[in-house]
Amino acid sequence: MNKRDQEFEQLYHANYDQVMRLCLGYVSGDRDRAKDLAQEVFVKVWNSLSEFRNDSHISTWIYRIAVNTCLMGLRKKRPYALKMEMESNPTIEDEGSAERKEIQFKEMYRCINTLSATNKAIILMELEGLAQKEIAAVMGMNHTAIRTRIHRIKTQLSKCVHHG
Amino acid sequence: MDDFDNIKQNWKEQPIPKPSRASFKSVKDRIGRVARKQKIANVVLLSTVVVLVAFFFYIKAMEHQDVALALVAMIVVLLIRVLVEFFSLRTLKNLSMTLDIESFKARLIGYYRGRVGVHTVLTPLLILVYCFAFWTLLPDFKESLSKGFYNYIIVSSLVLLVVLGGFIFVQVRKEMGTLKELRNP
Repeated sequence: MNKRDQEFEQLYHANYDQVMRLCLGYVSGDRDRAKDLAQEVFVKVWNSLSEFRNDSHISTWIYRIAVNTCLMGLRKKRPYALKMEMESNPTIEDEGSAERKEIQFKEMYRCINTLSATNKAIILMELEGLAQKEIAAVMGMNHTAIRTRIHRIKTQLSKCVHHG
Repeated sequence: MDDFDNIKQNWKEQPIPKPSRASFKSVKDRIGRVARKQKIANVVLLSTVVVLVAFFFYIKAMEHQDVALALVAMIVVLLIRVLVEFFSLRTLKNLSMTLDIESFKARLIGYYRGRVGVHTVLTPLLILVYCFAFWTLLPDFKESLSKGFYNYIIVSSLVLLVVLGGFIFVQVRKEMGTLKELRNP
């Protein structure tokens, strides 16, 4: 494996979780579709590496590619099944809590899915804990506009989760 | 803790399978596949042109002016449609993925507007030209083909036209849907 491949592999391992969560948010928790989208994101990261100018953090740059890939994926859209698979086999005592968690996740995805494609991108980055300034840079919007929008989406999302 | 903080906490607790060496390898394999697919598409397009031109000379179409004209029209229509599709896909693939989301979205909207234009104006126009050319060939078909085969050609062409119409309708609806979703602020 050459140096470029090794650097790419490091990048892949360091950013996989965030990219996967973002993709999950776009496909209502459909793991197979999210995996496929995440793979597509990293193919595009590899193809665009020469365009990276170091003027932002590499993970912010990857977010840009991830959201753009998800937007492009809208054309292949099909109704996503709201299904979640838990990682491990729960014991009988854990089953109740696992079931509750599953319901919470489903509810969360359902509410995220009610947002527009742009608002989805913004709130998924907010959920990942990205600074609002970074979100503004990824989106190509000004900081104040992002702040106001995040506030609005948070309220909308909270209401949806709370009242169904 | 308010509702949003709860959502945020849940968000980070989602079970994400750890990326493995094997999953990284599948990304690398996919990179290779994408490049190969592009090359195959170019070869297929070139082969189509070669086959169509070869067919034209094989049946000595230039010896019968009307037949030649109709065949040329059909070949040109097919070529235009194939080329439009080829360049459209290339435009989509060449969109810079590193643009900020708003600029990317604006370009994607432009792309879909173009696609809807192709489906609603250019493609029906090309189909009309193709059908007209085909219609002018029918007397020759009737003369030189058996009755059964001639009827088969007529019926299968009509079925194909209906299927094509349905396909265009579905495609337009799908792309209008994507356009609407992208335009939503």
